[in-house]
Amino acid sequence: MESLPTEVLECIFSFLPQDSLDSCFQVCDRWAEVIDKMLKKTMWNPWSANNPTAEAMLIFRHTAGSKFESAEHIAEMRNKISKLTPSERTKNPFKNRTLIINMKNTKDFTALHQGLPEMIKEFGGHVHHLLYYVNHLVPQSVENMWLIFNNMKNIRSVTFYSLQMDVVMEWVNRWDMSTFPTLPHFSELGFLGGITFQYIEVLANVYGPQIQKLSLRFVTANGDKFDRIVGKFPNLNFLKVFELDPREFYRRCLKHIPIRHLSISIGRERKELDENQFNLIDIMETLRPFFSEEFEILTLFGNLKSKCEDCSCNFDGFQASPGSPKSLKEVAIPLSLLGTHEFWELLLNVSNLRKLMLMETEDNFKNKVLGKEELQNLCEPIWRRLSSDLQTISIRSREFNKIFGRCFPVIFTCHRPRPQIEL
Amino acid sequence: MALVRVISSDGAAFLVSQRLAKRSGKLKTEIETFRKSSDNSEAQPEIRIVTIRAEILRLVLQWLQQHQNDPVLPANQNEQDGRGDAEMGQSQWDRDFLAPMDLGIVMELILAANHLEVKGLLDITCKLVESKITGRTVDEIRTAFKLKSDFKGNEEEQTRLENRWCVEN
Repeated sequence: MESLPTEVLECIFSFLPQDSLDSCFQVCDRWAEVIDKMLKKTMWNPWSANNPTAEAMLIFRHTAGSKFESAEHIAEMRNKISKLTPSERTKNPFKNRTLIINMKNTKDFTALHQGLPEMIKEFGGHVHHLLYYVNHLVPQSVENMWLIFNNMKNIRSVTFYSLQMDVVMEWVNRWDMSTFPTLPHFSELGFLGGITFQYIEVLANVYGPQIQKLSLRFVTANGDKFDRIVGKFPNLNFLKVFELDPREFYRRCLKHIPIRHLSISIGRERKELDENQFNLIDIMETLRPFFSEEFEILTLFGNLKSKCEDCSCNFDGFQASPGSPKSLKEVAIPLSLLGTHEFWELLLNVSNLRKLMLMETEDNFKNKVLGKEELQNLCEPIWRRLSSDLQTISIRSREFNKIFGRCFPVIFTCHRPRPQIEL
Repeated sequence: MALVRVISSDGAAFLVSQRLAKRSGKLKTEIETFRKSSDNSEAQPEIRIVTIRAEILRLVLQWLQQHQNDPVLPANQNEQDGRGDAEMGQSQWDRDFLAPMDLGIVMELILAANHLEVKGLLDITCKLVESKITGRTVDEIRTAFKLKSDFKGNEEEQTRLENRWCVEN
């Protein structure tokens, strides 16, 4: 077992239920390290916090007990700690080393933030992943942001959401950035909603070079600021952007960074980004000049429209654009684009495509089980036209889960039909 | 039928069809590399696997033979599709195939499947190991897999306490 490489251990652990994973965590240092890395990779995705995906389902299950929404949650934690022996009281109280500071209502949130500084000062060193909600009606939630960087020396990922720019900047301008501590493990940063670019810039000035994953949503900035900011994240290899105009954003940022994984989500919650103004061709045209050898994964969410008026495209006469991104290995794309001109234009020249996911956007299959025959019918044109390296197509739909009271994705998988047996 | 000679670390040679061998990602690459570098298109490739002994290589080839008409699974299938491939792909034949093996052989088979890039075999062997972990205590897992705790001093106690807290939650 000691000789098994990390990826094989990850494969074994991926089958384990949570209880057994907890046991394995204690077996030896190496196993603990592999599990920690694996959980980080599979569970902690800031984007999932607001969008139900398989990852969100995992977060929901695994972070129970790590979410703090009121002073009572701190009191509960203190109560449990008080039952431990004095030497045990400094141990990690956060499940999977994850802390979520969330708001249910202003009153509870205010009370939570009154007790938060003491808790973070005492236990902040145990937090690896933080999701931090800020609300301008609770000024302490803004003030306490300072605590994160000064008391969480082992932090790996931080996601802020619902920042109100004016209030935040008032506080941020008072910070002395020269005193920000070194955080050697800090590599993932996310901003979900109402973010000012000034704030991102403040953090980028200090931690930009070590950030590898960046997620942005509802960012307010003009084009010049994009240029200024993006150059401050020279080692970024994963970029997730949603509810932004991707054409403008990528035109400005991709020339700076050789992104490996690009994820774009459009037109879900932001009315002014009229979904009809985006189509795959426009986006790909924008991205095309920046495709590099490193660009391997493209994920497109949202109701992208086709420019084709008659999208039963005559495939036989269709020529793939020579500029298609050949380095792509994994693509996730809205199901609504299946069979359109844009769909083939994107995929026909991708010679190394290994994974394709079609994501349902219009609830065609919600709460429905897709049968084998139905799946094969959907995928049949793709099997015929795309390289045999592509062996599996996934179709992502959604299903309401009564236990959790919300929708979670269901993924149906279709394999390339078996070839005729050679006699 | 085009053949390829696959030689184990202890020198045993297995003559298999190239079609079958190409179901291993590693062997497929080796065959294609041989073709590109060889002037004689009829020449029979010979591939030496220095890390896998004959007994294990025979098991891998036996599994490939049985599953020669299955779709080839991408190497990182589980990452986005979630779990379940191993369970879905495990047949009665697979269960009978794995049943007589002791843990040492299973470990060698996992390493071989990983090295030769045989995703289906890797999945079912990993699933088998998983079944030997699930439901066991930390000490039982250590005994079963002959592992020693390498935590220093009170680190183990600390981890145990951290875990106790998690379980209580």
